[in-house]
Amino acid sequence: MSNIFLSPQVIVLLFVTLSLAVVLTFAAFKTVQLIKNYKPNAVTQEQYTLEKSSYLITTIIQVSLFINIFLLALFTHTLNSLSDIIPGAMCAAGVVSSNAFGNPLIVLKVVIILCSLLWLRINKEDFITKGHPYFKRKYLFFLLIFLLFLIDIFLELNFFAHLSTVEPVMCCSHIYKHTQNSFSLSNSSLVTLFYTLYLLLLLTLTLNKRLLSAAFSLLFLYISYLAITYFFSTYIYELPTHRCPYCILSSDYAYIGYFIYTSLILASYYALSFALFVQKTELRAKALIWYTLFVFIVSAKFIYFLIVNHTTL
Amino acid sequence: MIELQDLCKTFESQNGEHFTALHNITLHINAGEMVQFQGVSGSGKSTLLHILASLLKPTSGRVEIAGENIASYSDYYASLYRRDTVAYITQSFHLLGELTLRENLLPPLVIKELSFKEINAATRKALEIANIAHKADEKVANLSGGEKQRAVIARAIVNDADIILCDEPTANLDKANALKFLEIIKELKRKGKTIVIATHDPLFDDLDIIDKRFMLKEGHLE
Amino acid sequence: MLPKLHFLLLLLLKHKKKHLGIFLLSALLIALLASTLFISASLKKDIFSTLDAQADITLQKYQAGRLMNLPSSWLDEALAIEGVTKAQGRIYGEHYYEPKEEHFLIVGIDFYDEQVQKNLQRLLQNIDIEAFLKRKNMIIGTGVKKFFNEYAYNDYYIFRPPNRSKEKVYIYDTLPQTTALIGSDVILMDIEEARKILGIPRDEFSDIILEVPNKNERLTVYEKLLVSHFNTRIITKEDIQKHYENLFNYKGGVFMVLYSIALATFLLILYQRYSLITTADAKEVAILKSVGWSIKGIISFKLEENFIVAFFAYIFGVIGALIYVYVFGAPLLRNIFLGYNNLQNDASFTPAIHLSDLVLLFLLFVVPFMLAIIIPLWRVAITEPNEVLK
Ligand SMILES: Nc1ncnc2c1ncn2[C@@H]1O[C@H](COP(=O)(O)OP(=O)(O)O)[C@@H](O)[C@H]1O
Ligand SMILES: [Mg+2]
Repeated sequence: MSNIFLSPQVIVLLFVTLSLAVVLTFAAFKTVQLIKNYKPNAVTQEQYTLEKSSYLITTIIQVSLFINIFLLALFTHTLNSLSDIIPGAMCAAGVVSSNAFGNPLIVLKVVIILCSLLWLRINKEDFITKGHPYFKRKYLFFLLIFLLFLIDIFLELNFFAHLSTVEPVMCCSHIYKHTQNSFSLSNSSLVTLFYTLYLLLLLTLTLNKRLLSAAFSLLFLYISYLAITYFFSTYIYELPTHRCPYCILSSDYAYIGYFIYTSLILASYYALSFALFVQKTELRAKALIWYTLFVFIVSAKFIYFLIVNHTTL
Repeated sequence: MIELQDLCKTFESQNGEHFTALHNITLHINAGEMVQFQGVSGSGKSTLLHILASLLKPTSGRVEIAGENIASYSDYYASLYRRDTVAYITQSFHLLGELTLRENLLPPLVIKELSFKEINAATRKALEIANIAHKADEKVANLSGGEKQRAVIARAIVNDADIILCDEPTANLDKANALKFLEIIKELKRKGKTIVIATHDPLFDDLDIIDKRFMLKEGHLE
Repeated sequence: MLPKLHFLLLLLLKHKKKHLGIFLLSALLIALLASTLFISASLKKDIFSTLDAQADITLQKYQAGRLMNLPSSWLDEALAIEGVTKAQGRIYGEHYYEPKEEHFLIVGIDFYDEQVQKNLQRLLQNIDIEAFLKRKNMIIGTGVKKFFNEYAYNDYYIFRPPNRSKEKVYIYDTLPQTTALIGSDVILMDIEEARKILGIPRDEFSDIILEVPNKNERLTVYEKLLVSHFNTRIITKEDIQKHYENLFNYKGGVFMVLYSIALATFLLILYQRYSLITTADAKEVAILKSVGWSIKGIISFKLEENFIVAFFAYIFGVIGALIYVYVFGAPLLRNIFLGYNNLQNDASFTPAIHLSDLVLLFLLFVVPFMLAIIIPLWRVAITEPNEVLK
């Protein structure tokens, strides 16, 4: 067994994840029963019993998904602190890319968080609407999230098991040293794309173009990741060669990364729930506000630099 | 206002035996009416009131309140109905004994996103109607039987419900307190509330404010 | 929102007794873990501040798996490697006091070296190097001092080197308390004096330390050293740091695993305790439902109620641990962490509190706590009111 499993953070992470897995598995079993037997608008004793168990399931899912969101923060923090005991690693980037499980795991975790937030929103709508219009759909959706969660645990265990405290890994400036990203976009076109997408999002959301804004928000999520890694982070680090999406999460940069990623995920969540599920203007307003806030935090240092130095890094 | 159609309630005990407490009840109560359900102990009065209060689901049949079948409500809508539309007054006085009278009025109010000011106003009004304002800061465990019942009334009406259900309201009261109760209930009827009383107390027998009387016998309406 | 919280706190205060048992048990469990986190963070901080002053590379000679003295000729060989700005031989070793089975670590230092003088002056503000070197003097760790005092060696101590002579060395000063953690059993003295007491020949050293200021050159220096002699061990500063980090992780980890088992037991107790639905609980739920509370509302209310209990238990536990560790010096628990030291170690703990540790502790405790009570609370929330409200 890798002695990574004796790192306190990892133990906490696994213990909490495991307790989540226990209650979620229980909820998943109950959900299957519920989906099988539930008949909308039936007034039989069985329906009342099913309704009661639906409150248990909903509570478990709500609490678990809520906790899961905090676990992502704990996970990134763990990665950052693991870099202290892994040779060569300066921050989470080295730890994540030290084996094949790291990057899919991160992507999966973000997907789960987004799905969880959407689930919580659908549940809320379903709960306050007579006749529970989303009843079956939301529980099917939960089963999907549960499946993702199981894959997540599998990846996570494998990821930690394959971390070595002996073999050196690469540091972030090495991993992201190529100015070329996966789209072979130059930095200037990347930044242009970033701001263009932002404006397009504002436009499509305001004009109620639902599918278009959903597509844009997903694309923007990915482009933002690239733009942060290859461009904006260098301004936060004030070093043109330091490109890393993880170092901004460390205390050296006042944990600014947590604000950046939180605002991006919240914005995407509001945009997606507006575009895909509930047409409430309140959701759209929140999406617009969070997107703007995100773009503002991300580009603040870049713009400051531009104004002071009249040039880019 | 209240419309019951073929209402049945069957209890299933732990050993699998079935017992039908209400058989095909169909009746109609208008808004603002005061009605009385009579019948010996065990005839199904409390069961009927529980169903009307949405504390119990019927086995079959419809329970229409203001045009909506509350039997098909999810728990969330049932709770809104209990909060805003119906007040339920029990024979034994179910109160939170460690709290004061004023604090006992909090549960129906705190779930309504009200401010402290609005809560105080509603509390004062309810305590006055129930004629118990002078004991507001007394621990309810120290109140007498009559006072406890008026505390229950105050709590039941604090959200200004339209329908008031009373289950054997005078069973645990002496004559003087029973008369006080009648005064309060008359006042509520004057305010236009629909009032349903389940009792076999002879005190109600020749009361002229009662509009309708129903007789329950082993779960059948006679 | 506020009135609801008001009502929640009201009920909580009235039901103090009901929650007291769980509260105390929780606070105790949290205090236990928080104490170990604090202790380990403090130790880490002390050790790492000491490690920072360590040499960039340490060169040792091994033979048949045992540490040997190495010839002074290695010193010049090392200096010849590009990038090495300074090479210094060290003399140190254990002095064994048979009757009491005590070890001291005698470290010989070159008091004429400027760097050494600077470091010493940082440790002991009013050290007078000239006065120190006038006669046979030594500087001792707090643990050593305690031991000497026990045998009435208040001013000097008589060492017995391998050649059966007697060496009387005066106690010049004691190392400050902050170094007690790793310097408790240390004796510092002039390098030649140490040689005599430890019996190390003139042309040998215990090991060699190298200074390689340029980080990028360390790897090539390392490789060159490696090929120059086969029976060497080369330790870099980072090695030492990672080693300690791993050691702490390991110690903390073993404790955490044991703790997780205790926590799981506690969760079972919690589950059992909350599964008992008293008539008072059923009555409360019936009342709440009859005035308009929903099942969901009751579950949330009860979850919030218990979250507050868990939260305050957490606060109390953490404060308790702070007092236990930093005011009382963590009696009992300290032995687990300081057990490896031979002499009694009387280090006091340097405050080192990491926010992330506190968050970690919070998650580890509160999350499983809340998850364990959901099902019991739900059972309470769905009790049928009609049975109670007769
Ligand atoms: N939860 C229950 N389970 C089984 N039988 C019940 C239950 N509640 C009431 N009953 C039965 O239903 C009948 C009617 O009871 P109830 O409505 O309380 O009568 P009343 O209020 O007129 O005295 C009684 O025979 C009682 O035993
Ligand atoms: Mg009855």
